[in-house]
Amino acid sequence: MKARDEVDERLLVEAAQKDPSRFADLYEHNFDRIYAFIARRVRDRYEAQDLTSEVFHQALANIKRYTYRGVPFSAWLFRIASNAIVDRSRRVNRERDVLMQQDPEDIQLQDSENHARLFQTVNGLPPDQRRVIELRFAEQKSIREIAEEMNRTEGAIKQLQFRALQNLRARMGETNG
Amino acid sequence: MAKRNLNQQLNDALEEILANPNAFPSSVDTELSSLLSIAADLRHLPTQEFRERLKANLLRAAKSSIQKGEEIMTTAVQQKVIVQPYLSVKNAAAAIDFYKNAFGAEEIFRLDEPDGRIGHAQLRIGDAEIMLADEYPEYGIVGPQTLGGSGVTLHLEVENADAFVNRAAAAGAKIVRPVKDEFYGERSGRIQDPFGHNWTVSQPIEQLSEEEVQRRYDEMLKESPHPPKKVNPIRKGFHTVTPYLIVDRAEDLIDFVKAAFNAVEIFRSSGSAGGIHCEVEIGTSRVMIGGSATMPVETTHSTMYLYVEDVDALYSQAVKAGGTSMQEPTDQPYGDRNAHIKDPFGNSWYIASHVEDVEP
Repeated sequence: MKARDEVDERLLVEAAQKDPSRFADLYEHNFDRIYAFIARRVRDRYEAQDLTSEVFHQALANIKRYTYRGVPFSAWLFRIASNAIVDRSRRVNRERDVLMQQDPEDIQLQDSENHARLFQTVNGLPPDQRRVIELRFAEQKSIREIAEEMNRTEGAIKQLQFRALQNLRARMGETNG
Repeated sequence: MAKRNLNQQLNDALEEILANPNAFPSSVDTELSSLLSIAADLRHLPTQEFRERLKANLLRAAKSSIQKGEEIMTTAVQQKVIVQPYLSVKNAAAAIDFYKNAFGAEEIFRLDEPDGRIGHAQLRIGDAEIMLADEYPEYGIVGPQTLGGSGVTLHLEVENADAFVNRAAAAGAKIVRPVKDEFYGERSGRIQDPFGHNWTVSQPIEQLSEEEVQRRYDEMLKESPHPPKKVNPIRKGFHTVTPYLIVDRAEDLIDFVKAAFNAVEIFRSSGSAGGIHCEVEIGTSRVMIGGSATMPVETTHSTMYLYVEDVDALYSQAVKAGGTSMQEPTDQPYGDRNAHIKDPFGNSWYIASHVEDVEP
């Protein structure tokens, strides 16, 4: 399965190298892991968005120079991301790049993969649960705000939130096992 | 009720986590702790809005990079290129005068040299511009007159081909192909100027698709195929003058020239009345032999002058073959060593070698 993923990924890379508009497929394929990798290492989601955007734009601009060396395409993206984070932290004179050196690289990457899988699992939730998770975590809205937006009671939103997390735990457990 | 409590507990803990990323409530139900661990990870959940916006931005960037790439390619291909004829002519000054008279050209630049040659000139003919200069054989720059022809035809598009060609012809141009309506939608003729340059003069009369032009061309070729290729009027292997010996026993003369002069028979045909025509090659020259006993002809005596490598050897050979010696090989004051024999039919053959270049 892994080998087939790699072959497919190579095809995606070759397609994007020939026609940059095909980069969208590579983006979809890698967005979650790169975003997760970055988000864990920066102050807030605005910075995470900024850097994620920077990483993918850099990747797009340099896609023709990318050569396959037997490691997944994401390794290249992770390297761009690491550099971008380090650059950023140096620029703003913060020392969060210490974070980068705390875990060995493979653990960092595994961690990002797990997050990415979690994010993708969110997409598979029933629509109401998914909406609550997105509003609550991605958009960081309060229960009251969400209740208003979804035209439900706060209790109903709390319940959806609870069920959604249970669901995610169950689904993550399935895929882990 | 227990569930409600769990809902509330979970939410309280979530509020803490969301407010302070480093917080991780410890005093919670074990059932909740695994949910909270997932919730902690969900703090990094990207918004759909951002995911879509970034994708749209990337697509836009990709598109613009493609367009930029295309622009670069198109600029490379479509860089402005102008082809301008540069004519070499013998006597550029006269040519300029001719082009003024014949084509209504306007002189816009002229670079004179002390020796009278024109090093460079530019003329405007309507909207077109040509350059020309005198011949500079020392630099290998020569015109059609010196070259004996030109491989290039200059194509002029004009408003009135007839008037243009008539004027050019009146000024001294040679009409090579008169002006007429052509299948490709132009009224066109071909002229050669007195300096050897070829011009087609064309006037568009129809707007035609490529397919229509091809269709008409196919049609035309069906009706009248190309004329046979022009043949060289001098047959291959022959020169302008070829000796033709007519005797009453051609076969015997053929045998004699083979034996006497190593002639090689190239061609022989016998007519129904018994007449013979034969062509033989002697060294680098051809000789025709004709006539026959059955078809009596008036024998004409001719004289041949052969240049060969070894006069003495061929002289002996010819005599041995039946020739009558009229003069043994002798050095002549005009630089040839020659001998003279007569064949059995009365023709004279001088056999010679050029041995010395002598001032005339």
